[in-house]
Amino acid sequence: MMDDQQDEMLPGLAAEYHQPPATPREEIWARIQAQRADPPVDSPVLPFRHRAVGRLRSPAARALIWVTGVAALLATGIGLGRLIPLGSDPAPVAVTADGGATPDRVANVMGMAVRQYLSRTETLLVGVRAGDESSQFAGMARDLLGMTRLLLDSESLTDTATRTLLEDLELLLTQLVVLPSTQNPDQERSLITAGMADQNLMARLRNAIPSPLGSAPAVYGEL
Amino acid sequence: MDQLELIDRVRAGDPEAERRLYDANVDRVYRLAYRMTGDSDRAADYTQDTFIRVFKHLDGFRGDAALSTWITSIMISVIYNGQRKVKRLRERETELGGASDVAIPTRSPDPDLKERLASAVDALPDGYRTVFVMHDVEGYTHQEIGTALGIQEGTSKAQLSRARAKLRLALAAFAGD
Repeated sequence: MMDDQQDEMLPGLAAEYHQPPATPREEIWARIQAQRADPPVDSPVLPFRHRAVGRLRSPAARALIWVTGVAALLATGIGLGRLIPLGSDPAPVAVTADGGATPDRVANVMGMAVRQYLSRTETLLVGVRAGDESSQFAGMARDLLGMTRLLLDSESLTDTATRTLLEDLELLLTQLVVLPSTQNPDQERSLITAGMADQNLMARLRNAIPSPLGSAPAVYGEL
Repeated sequence: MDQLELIDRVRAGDPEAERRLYDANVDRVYRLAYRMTGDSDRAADYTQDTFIRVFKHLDGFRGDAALSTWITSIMISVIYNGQRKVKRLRERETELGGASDVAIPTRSPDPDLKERLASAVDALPDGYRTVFVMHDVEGYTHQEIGTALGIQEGTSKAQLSRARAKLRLALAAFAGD
């Protein structure tokens, strides 16, 4: 079937996707009124976190952000240098007749891509927690969002935990991209950082970053 | 009463105006929440949270976009936060239950074309699914989607194109069965 024909068919078929029932207007309105009359007590964690965030805005914290970013860049550069054969230098890894797209090499490249992605994401999230201006990281979030989707689309990424982490990061990055255009970015940022804490996202992210000195982890499967 | 007057009256605490604003937008919010979740309880929860935040933050609405688009952007944020929590809970349940598959396809093993499409939409990455549902299912324009999601119109179009490509693959596989 031609793509155009299918594109015309899709909205018709999709009209029944999660077909909504009638809106329970009165029920929802009653709940809204009840919640506004008796709002839940704000968590005492948030103000504390904000104070902690304030401390992270020190020059040292900002330097740490840059060092982390540069380290990620260096690790990627060193890794690429080891992978790409140059001139008459002996090949450092096994080479096959088809030019060398061996499972090991694929795993190495995927591991490196994931490592670079996770390191950049960590750098970004440290900045978010530190309270940097949202307009400063929206572009980086957009880039990383694209990379997230590329990685999620890759069949080489077979590890379920890493996939789950990437899916969580995809949602988070989407929120960060949207953040500068929201009417109340501070409120949104509070929700985002609260969500990060709820999910223990930074710890999961750091645990998922493989060591640049070790061999490629086995979790990245074959193409 | 036009939109600006309505907003002014809501800001002034007029309960009748609040109800009008709610009535004018609740169907649109609930429909999209339901489309995104497929669950009436969660759709109602997200709709409730959305309007709580709308009323709380209406003072910050500067009229850069249409009120409905502003409300949609709040709703998307509420849905993403909520869905993340749901996903986390499901993962914990999966771990406790010892199941091996994290995906949650609950549809019949021999679906018809619409069921196949629905499964394929469920399986789309969240960003693609959001754009597909907003555009192809609920009829939002790329401009509205771009404003609500904070992305360029071209990005919305590209994501829709990729979503459709994935869905075409799913339907092609079905046709070949």
